[in-house]
Amino acid sequence: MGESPAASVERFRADLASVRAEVGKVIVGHAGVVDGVLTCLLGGGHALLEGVPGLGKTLLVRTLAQVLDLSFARIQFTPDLMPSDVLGTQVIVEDERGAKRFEFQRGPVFAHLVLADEINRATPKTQSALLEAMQEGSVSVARTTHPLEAPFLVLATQNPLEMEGTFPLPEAQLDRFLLKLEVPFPSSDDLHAILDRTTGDAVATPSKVLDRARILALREVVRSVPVARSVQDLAVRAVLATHGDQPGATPKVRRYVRFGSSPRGAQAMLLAAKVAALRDGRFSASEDDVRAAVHPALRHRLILNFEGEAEGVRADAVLDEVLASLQRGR
Amino acid sequence: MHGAGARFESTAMPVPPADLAVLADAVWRVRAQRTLRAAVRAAVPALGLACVVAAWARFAGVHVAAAAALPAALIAAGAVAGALRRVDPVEAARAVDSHHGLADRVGVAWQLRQTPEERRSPFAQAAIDDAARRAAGLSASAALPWRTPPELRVVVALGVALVLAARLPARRHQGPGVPLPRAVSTPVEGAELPAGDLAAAREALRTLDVAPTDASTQRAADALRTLLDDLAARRIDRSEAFRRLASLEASLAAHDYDAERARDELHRLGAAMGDGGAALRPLTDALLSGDGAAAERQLRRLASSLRDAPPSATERARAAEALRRAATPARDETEGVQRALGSAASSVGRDPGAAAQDLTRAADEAGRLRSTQSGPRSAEELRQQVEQVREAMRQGGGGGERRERFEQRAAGTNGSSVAGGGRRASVGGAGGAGPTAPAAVAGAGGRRGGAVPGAAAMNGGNDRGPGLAHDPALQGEAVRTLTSTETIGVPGAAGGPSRSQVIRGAAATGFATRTYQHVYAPYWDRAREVLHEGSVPPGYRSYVRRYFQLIRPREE
Repeated sequence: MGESPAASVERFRADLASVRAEVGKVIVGHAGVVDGVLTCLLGGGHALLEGVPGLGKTLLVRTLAQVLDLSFARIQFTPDLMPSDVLGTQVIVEDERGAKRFEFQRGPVFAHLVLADEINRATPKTQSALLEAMQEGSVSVARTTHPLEAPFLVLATQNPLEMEGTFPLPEAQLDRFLLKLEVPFPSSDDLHAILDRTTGDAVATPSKVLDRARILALREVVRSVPVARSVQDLAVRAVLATHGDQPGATPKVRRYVRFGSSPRGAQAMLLAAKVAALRDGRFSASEDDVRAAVHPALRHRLILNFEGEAEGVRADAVLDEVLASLQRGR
Repeated sequence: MHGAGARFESTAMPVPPADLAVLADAVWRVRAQRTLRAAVRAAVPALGLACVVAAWARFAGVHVAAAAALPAALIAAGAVAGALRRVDPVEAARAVDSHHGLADRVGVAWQLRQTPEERRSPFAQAAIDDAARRAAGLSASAALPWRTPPELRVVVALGVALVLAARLPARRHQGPGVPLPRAVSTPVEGAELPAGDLAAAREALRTLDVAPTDASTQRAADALRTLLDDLAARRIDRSEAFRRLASLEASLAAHDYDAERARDELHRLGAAMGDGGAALRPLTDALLSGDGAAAERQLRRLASSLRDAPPSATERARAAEALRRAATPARDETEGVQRALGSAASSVGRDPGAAAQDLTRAADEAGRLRSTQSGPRSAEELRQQVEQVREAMRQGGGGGERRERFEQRAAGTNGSSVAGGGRRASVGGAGGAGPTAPAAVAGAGGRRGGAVPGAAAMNGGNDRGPGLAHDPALQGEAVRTLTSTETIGVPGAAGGPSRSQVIRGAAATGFATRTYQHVYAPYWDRAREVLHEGSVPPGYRSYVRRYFQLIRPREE
């Protein structure tokens, strides 16, 4: 890095603030979602956005791509979408001498920012095509591995309604997402602002404030943030508390949860806590940072049992109880 | 540390560094709070125990300071345990961070400090420096204010209780080896009533015939019964016994007064009635005699005659006038009789049947008066019994000898071996009251006119019946003779029939063919008849009763 931690943190804060400001020119509200997406970007993970149609999910990703000066690809997942439509395919090309050869035609997954819109509408086969790309950062086609250029961020959206004919993401794929962000319906003031911006003749154009190199540098800064044992212990206890067979499990977990969070949940919490600490101008993560990351990092990692599904138990309700059980100092 | 390849391993708990002085202060405050809390918690059972010990110490006369040593030691032990308990600096740091809004900076910095400086990442060092800079000048007192332990109220209450227990009136402490004075209780010197007298009185009470309507006599009998029980158990002394006897006599005297008053009122009725003609004359005589029973009989007879054979109108008018005179003025004692007589006076002229009913009602009222008058007999018996008890009590000091004498008589002991005691002259006469006693009784009597040792002479010299008269030589009243008396000692003389001689003599005349119970009963019945006839002077009746009580058949 070369610069002092204080300078790094200060620059991190400034860069992040500028990104949020530029995104805010287009996106009204959704500050938490924006922060979550930036956390995933800087933490090296992927984000799953869930919200009803029309809340600006696609616009958010597109705006983010513009602000960050990254390549952007949008994939509309449909039931007939094939894996090759996502990853790319071998095509026969003929050179000027008339010779024919196979050439890999890159799919949309090779962009820096990939918006997998309504990912649950594709078949599991196509959904799983994203697995290697999201986890390994590479795509293997025809015995050839094609690395994805960093930063690589998948932003998948889900529509909680219209579940007819959808294919819910399998647990293994859900675990690949660092955070699951819920896109709330805008407030009254936000709706006014949205109408003001979208029905007039003024068109907001966000500026590029960060480039790829800077983003990678910011990722290194995030990894440099130290985590004290007490803070890390809180994340560990949170993950363990989601397992019904663990001593710290809460009653709801014991009753409604079939499988708890994987270790990736603790990783996600710590990374999110580090980003939060830097965003706040601190050199180390705090326990409150971990607590703030519990819901987005774990809600998609809880697999409810039949009773939980039948009674409509929400993962957030279970996590509320888990969070309450995590008293400080224990 | 994460990212720098160094992680904090919390094993030991070193003292917080000087640049994190607020943390050191916080640790000290946490430890002090815990010490106080532990001491207060220990004080709850300790003071509870101290209250018990103090109360016991005051009662037992042990020094309180020694008794309080154990609770004090418990409190001290609790405080030491609280002070020695491990205090995690992270907990103290949390309080400081939370209060000052430092977002765990102090706590994290203290943990990051545990990594050697050469292994710290720049960010870790920056975090430590940042925490030290922000913590400078902060106060732990605001983050960790002194909090009153919730158990303190209980401790205060127990402390007050301890003070009160310590101020209890203590038994005076006696030095070792000095015996405590024993409480001296003065037992009641129970009055003594000879067993024979007691049994006789109880028997008399048992056979006492008290009319159900005579509540006052019944109460007096119950009181006497209670008194006898107390005397038997020696629960009361002589003063109390005499006081109760005096009270009983007073109540019985009042009963006599009521009966006498009823008698006078009936007499007044008869006088007021005057001459009512031949039909009323028996009634008038009965009323004049003051006899309620006779008046009741005559009233019923008159009512019956009115129903069955009403007299002439003239006679009825005359009777009506007489009854009217008797009916007024009304008096309390005879109000019921007078009201009925007045009603009869109104109806006798025109409706003899109604008048008969009124007279029957008057007879009923007269019956109530009779029950009042019948009381005196039982009351008199009761009063005599009270007198006997009092007399026995009065002679209680030397009662043992007398009782023994009576018992020997009752048991038929050969008098030859008994030193007799007699009184010259008058006592000899009194001894003559029992000629029907068995011939074997000897040595208890005397002979008139001389101090001659008695020698089985009780059955001789008096042929005028049992207790029917007095020695004609006596002067004065029956119980207050003018003859001076002198107690003399009469030694029993050897001789007389021995037990075997008595048995052989009885065999010669024939052994008893009837049980003693069957012999005793007719004798006692006859004695009672004599007593009721008034032939025996009042002062001597008790002796007759006592005698028969003493010789009564026993259970065995």
